[in-house]
Amino acid sequence: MTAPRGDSTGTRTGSIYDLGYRHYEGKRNGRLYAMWSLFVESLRGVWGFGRPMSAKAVPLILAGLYALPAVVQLAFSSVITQQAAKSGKAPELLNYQSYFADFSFLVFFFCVAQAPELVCRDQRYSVLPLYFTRAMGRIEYALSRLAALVLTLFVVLLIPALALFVGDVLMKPDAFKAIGDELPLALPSIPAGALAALVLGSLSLAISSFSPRRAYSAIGMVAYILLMEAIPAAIYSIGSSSGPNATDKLFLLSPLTSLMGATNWFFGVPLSPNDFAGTLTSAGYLGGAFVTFAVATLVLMYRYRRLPA
Amino acid sequence: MNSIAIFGEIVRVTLRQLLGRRRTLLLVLLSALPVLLAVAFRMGGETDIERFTRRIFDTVTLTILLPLVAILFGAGAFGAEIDDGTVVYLLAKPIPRWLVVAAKAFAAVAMSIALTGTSTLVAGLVDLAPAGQDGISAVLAQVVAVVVGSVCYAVLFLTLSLFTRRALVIGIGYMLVWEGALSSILPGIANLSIRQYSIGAASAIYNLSVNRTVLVPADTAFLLSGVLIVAALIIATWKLMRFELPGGSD
Repeated sequence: MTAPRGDSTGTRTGSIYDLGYRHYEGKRNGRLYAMWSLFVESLRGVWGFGRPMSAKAVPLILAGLYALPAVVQLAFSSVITQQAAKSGKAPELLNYQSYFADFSFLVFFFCVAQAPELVCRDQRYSVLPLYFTRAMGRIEYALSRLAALVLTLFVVLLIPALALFVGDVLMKPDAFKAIGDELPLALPSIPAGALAALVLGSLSLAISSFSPRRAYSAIGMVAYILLMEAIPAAIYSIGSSSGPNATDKLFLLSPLTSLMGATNWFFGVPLSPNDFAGTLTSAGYLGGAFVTFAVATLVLMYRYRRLPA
Repeated sequence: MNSIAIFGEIVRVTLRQLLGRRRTLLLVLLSALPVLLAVAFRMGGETDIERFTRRIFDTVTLTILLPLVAILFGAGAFGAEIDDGTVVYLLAKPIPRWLVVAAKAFAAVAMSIALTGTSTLVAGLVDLAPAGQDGISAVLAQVVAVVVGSVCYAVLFLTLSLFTRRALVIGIGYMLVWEGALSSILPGIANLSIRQYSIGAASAIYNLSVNRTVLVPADTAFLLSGVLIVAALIIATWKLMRFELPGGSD
């Protein structure tokens, strides 16, 4: 399909832009390579590489703010150890399992700011047909963009875990033993971060693909996520006054809350009743998070199938 | 044409620009949400003022609905004309610039109050009518808060939209970062927060604050929001007097 064909009469790949004056006889890299190219281009776009400083500022500042508490703890690790040795108590440290829950709103801001960057401009300036006439199809386009956002979020989510790990290891007197102690605690951050990146990435890209204007996409995401946090809480507060019932299942619709619950599953800690009302377990939230990811990805692909190109 | 007729005409045109879009339908749906929740609360036998204020008024109306609607209409009143380039026709007419600003601001504010005010009033009455006199004054206080908030947000972002084409984005950032994240960490910025002005102004009638403390007292809230509105309108008029049409590059 993608191999070059010598004859100039039959249907050839790329016939739309081959007007017949000069033929391309070279190697065609095909669909997967096109997806890879768009993926790399999207990654550069999200971080603003190859763009002016103003495009780099927002993603780097937001990613930096998310990592800041962990990095500060790393920087002050020697002070913390000395204080702990003096007072004889184990120091109160940020831990791997609650870091996402404490600072997830910054990751949410990152999505609000950067997901529209990926999908809005192409719609606004009507350049999607230029993609779709090449080897790239609609679904491939959507998936490449999604993969780039998910990988970006995964990096954003893992930097603080890495900083916490380095800090905790350096605080211990015996570094090798400390690595052995810390690694089982730190490793669940990787699947937990991957899950959060998949869910947040698919959800925010699906919502922002519905408007060609970046501002409206951002508004849509803010409205959706804040409302989905507020409505289940409101309905649960009526339901809970008349005894236990099924209204707590609605928390599965809250993107941030359900992710906080789901990431706890990887760390194997029970959900604290202060933070999570209702009877849902972390395994339940995990299932809900996978369903959210699947639905959001399907909505994104549906949107790109329907878009007039 | 006298100035009242001009005023009316600009308001009419602006309303048509703001309303004739798909997103207005979404905003109407959004403003129906507090009413639906209030109906659910009433049917669940939940007519406690404090719970209603916390679960519906504070989290849905004051945090999401009010700023979104007012910022969209405020930034859109001039923003749509600047984006489309039709602002030229408005500025080419011999109309005093303050009148243009006043008419645009009136249209944006009226739209915001019509949407969020109605939603707040209906939702409050649906759920709090059985709560007696206290319930009624709580509803009145909520409407006051929504009106003060709508005017402040709409006028502020109308002015901002004359300075930058990214007023909407700045508005979302303000709403999330300043009102959402920072004001809970730094109580010192309460005097610079429209959300706190709203709660403060409403506290003249009823204390709506979720944790019972009003950070800006009522008279200060009215004073500060008045200063904000007047200053924003003056700056908008001044800016419109020396308005340069954006270049065609973007």
